[in-house]
Amino acid sequence: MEILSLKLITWFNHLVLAYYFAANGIYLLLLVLAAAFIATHLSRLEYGRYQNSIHPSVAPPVSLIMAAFNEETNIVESVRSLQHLGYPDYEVIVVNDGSTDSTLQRLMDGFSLKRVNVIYRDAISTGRVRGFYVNPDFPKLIVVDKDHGGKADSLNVGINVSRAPYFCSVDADSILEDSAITRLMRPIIEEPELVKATGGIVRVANGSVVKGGRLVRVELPRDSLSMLQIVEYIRSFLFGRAGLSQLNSLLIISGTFSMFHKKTVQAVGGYMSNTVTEDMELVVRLHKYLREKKIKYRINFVPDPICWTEAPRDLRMLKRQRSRWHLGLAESIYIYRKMLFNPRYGRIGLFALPYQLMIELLGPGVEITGYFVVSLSFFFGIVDKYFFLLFIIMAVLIGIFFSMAAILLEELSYRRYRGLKDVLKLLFFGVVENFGYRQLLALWRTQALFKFLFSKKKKWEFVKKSGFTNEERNDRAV
Amino acid sequence: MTYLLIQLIIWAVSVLILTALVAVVARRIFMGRKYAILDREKERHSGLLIALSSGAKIESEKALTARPGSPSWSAVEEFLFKGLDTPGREEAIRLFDELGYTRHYLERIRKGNRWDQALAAEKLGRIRCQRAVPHLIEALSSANKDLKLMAINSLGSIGDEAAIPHLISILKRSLKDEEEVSTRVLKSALISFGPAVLRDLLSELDNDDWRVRATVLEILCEINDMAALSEFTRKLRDDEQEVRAKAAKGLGRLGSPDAIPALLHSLDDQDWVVRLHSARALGLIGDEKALRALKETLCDRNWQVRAAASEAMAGIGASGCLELLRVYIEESDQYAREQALDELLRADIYSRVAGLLEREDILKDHGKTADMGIGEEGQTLSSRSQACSRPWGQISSGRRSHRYPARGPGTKMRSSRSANH
Repeated sequence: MEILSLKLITWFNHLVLAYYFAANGIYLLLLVLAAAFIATHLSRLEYGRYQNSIHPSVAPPVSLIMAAFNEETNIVESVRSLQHLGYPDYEVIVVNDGSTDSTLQRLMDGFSLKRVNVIYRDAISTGRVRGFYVNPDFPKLIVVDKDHGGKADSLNVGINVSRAPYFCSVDADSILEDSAITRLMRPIIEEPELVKATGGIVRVANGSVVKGGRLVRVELPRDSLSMLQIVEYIRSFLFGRAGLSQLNSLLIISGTFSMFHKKTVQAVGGYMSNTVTEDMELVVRLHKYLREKKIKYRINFVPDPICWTEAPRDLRMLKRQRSRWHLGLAESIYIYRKMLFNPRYGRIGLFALPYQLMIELLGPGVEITGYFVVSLSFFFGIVDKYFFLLFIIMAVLIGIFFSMAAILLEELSYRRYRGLKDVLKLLFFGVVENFGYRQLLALWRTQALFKFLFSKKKKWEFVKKSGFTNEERNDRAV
Repeated sequence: MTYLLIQLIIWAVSVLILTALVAVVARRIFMGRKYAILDREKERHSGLLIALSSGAKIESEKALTARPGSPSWSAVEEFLFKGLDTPGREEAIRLFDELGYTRHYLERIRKGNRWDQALAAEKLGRIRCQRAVPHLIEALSSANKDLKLMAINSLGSIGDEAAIPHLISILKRSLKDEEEVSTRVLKSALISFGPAVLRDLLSELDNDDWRVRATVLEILCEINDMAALSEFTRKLRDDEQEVRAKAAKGLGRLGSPDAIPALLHSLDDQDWVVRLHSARALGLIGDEKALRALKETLCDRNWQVRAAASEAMAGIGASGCLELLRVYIEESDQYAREQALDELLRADIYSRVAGLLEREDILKDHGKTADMGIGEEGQTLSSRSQACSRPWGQISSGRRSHRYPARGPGTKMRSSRSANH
C-alpha cells in the first residue's frame, strides 16, 4: 500500500512537471505572438487617425449599452463621461436593472430626464420594462427602467432598444477615453464583413485622477492590492488576450468594454440570462454559430488602453470577483463541452477551448495540488531537498519572468505610467505577486471550481465598488 | 537529466528576467531623454505655429531645416500639421514642400517598410499634395493592404478627379470579393469628391452586379445632388430590392416633391425594406399629399414599416400629427392605434390632448378608452391580432394583405405604459 502511494506521488510529480512545462510553453508562445501583435498594432496606430477624416456616413452608428444595478455612486459620472466620446454617430442606452438604491433617481436628477412612453419590442425575450426616460437636451441618451433580471437581461433590453448596427457593452463603473469607440471600431471599419466583435483593453483606475467622469491623470495607487491587480491586468490583457487574438482564438472579451455586430448577436439569441459570466458565454456561442454556419469571421482584440475600471480594494471583494470569473469560465466550458477537441470547430475546438480548460480552468487546481504533493514528496523523501528547492525556485522565477515581460511590453508600447519611479514600483510588484498573491488567487479559483462541480448554489456574487471620487485621487485605504 | 534541465531553465529564466529588467529601465531612461529633447525642440520652434496661426509668411526657412527623423524634424513636422488647421494652411503646405517633407514622404512610399509606406501616404493626404496623386494611384495596386487603404483615403482627401476611375474600379473589385479592401473607406473617398464623381458613378447604375448598383446609389445618396433625381426614380423599379431601397432612401435625401408619385407607388413594394425607406423618404420630403398613403401604411404587416410611417407623418408637421390623432381616436386597428399613440407620445402631443379627449368623451364616442388595448401586459401580438376585426378586404399589396403575422418568432410588443396602469 505504501509502495503504491509512493508510486502514485512519484507519478503525479512527473505529471505536474510535464503540465508545468506544457503550460509555460504555451504562455511563452502567447508572449511571442502578443509581442508581434502589439508591434504591428503600434506601427499602425499613428495613421489610425485617418478615421477622423472619413465621411461620417460610413462610420456605422453604435449603441453604448450600460447595465446598471445599484450603481448610485458612479452612475451620473459614468454616463456623463460617455457624452463626449469622439465618434460621429452613437447613442447611450442606460438600463436600470431594478436597482434598489437611488440609481434611477440620480440619473433623472443628473440629466433632468422625463418619462416617455414608447412601444418596446422584445426581439430578444427579456424581463418586464417599466419605462423610458429621455431629455431632448441629451439626444444621445435614453434610460430604460426594468425589473431586476441580471446583467445579461439588461443588456438584452439594451439590444432591443438599440437602433444601431453595432452595440458596445459598457460597465457602469468604467471610464472610457475619448477615442475609445473610434479605436474599437477601427477593425470593423477596415474589415466590416469579417469582424463580428472587438474587445478593448481594460486597465485599473485605482489611484488615478478622475474628474467629471473622465480620467485626467494616470497614477499608481498607494495600496498593495490595487498594485498587484494592475500588474495582473497588464499581464492578462497585454500578452494573454493579444496572443490569443493573433490566433483568432479569443473566447473572452471583457464585458466591461466590447463591441458586437448586433445582427449576429441577435441571430444567436442575445446574452444568456442564466450564466455567471455572460460575456464569455456569448463569445463562445458566437464562435460556435459562425463556425457551424461556415461564415468567415474574426473576433478582434484592440490592445489600446482605452477603458479604465475600478478594481476591488479588499480581499473579500477580490475573492468574490475571481470566484465569479472562474465559475463563469467553468460554466461556459461545460455548456460548450461538445465543441472540445471537435475538429468541426477548427482552432476553437482544437486549441482555444482546450487551452481554457487545461490551462485556465484546471491550472490553479494543478498548481495548488502540485504545491501540496511536491511538499509531501519532500517530506516523505521521494524527492531530495535539492530538487525540491530547484523546482520551487524555477516556478517562482518563471512567474516573475512573465510579469517582467508583460511590464516590458507595456513599456515598449503605451507607457501610461509616466515616471521612472512608477515603472520600478510596477517591477517590484511584478516580483512580489509571486509570493502569496498568485497562490491565493489559485486557491480561490480552485475553490470556485469545486463549487462548480459539487455545489448546487451558483448564484451571482455581487462585487461592491466604492466609486470614483470626483476631482481627487481615487485612493481609498484597504 | 531532470536536474540539469531545471538548472538550465533557472539560468535561462534568470538571464531573461535581468534582461527584461534592464530593458524596461533603459527604455524608460532613453524615452525620457528623447522626449525631453523633443520638448526642447518644440519650445525652440513654438514660434512657427504662432506665425502660421496668424497667417504670417515664414521667412527664416533655414532655421527650420533639419535631418529627417531628428527631434527638430519631428517638432517642425508636428507644428506644420497643426498649422494645416489655421489661417496659415497655404504657408504650411508651402513649407512642407520647401523643407523637404513632401519629398521625404514620396520617397517613403517607394522605399519604406509597410508601415512607413502607409504613414507617408496618410500624411500626403493630410497635406492634400497634388504631386502625390500618381504615386498614390500606383499604390492602389500595391500588395501592402495598409498602403492601399491609406492611398484610397488620401486620394479622397486630395480630390483629384484623375483618381475617380481607379477608385471606382477598385470598389467594383472589392464588392465582388476580388480585392481585400474596406468598402467603407472606398465609399468615404468617393463621397469626398462630391458632384465631380457623378458622371462616373451614374454610368455604373446599369452594372450587372446589383451590389455595385446599390453601393453607387448609397454614395449618390450622400452626395445629395439633384442631378441624380431621375436616376434614383428609375432605380425604384430595379429588380433587386436592395437597389430599390437605396433609391428610395436617396430620394428622401433629395427631398424633391417630384419624387412623391414614385415613392407612393413604392409604399406597395413587396419588400418591407423598400416600403420602410419609401415611408421615411415621404416624411423627409414633408408634403401633405403623402399623408393618406402613409396613414394606410400604419396598418402594414411589418412593425418597422409602421413605425417609419408614423414617424414620417409626424415629420410632415401639424397636419400629420392631426392625422395620427385621428387614427388613434377613430381607427379600430389596434396596431395602427398603438403606432399612432407611440408617435404622439414621442412628439409630446398626446400628453397635451389626453385631458381634452377624456373630458369631451371623444374616445368614448368612438367606443374606446384612453388605454384600451394599448400594450396589455404579457399579451402577445398574435393573440391580440385576433381581436382586431376591421375588415380591409383582400388587397394585393404587401402593405395590406398580411397585416399581422409577419414577425420574428417569439417577438412580443409591449408598451412601457402598461406598467403604470
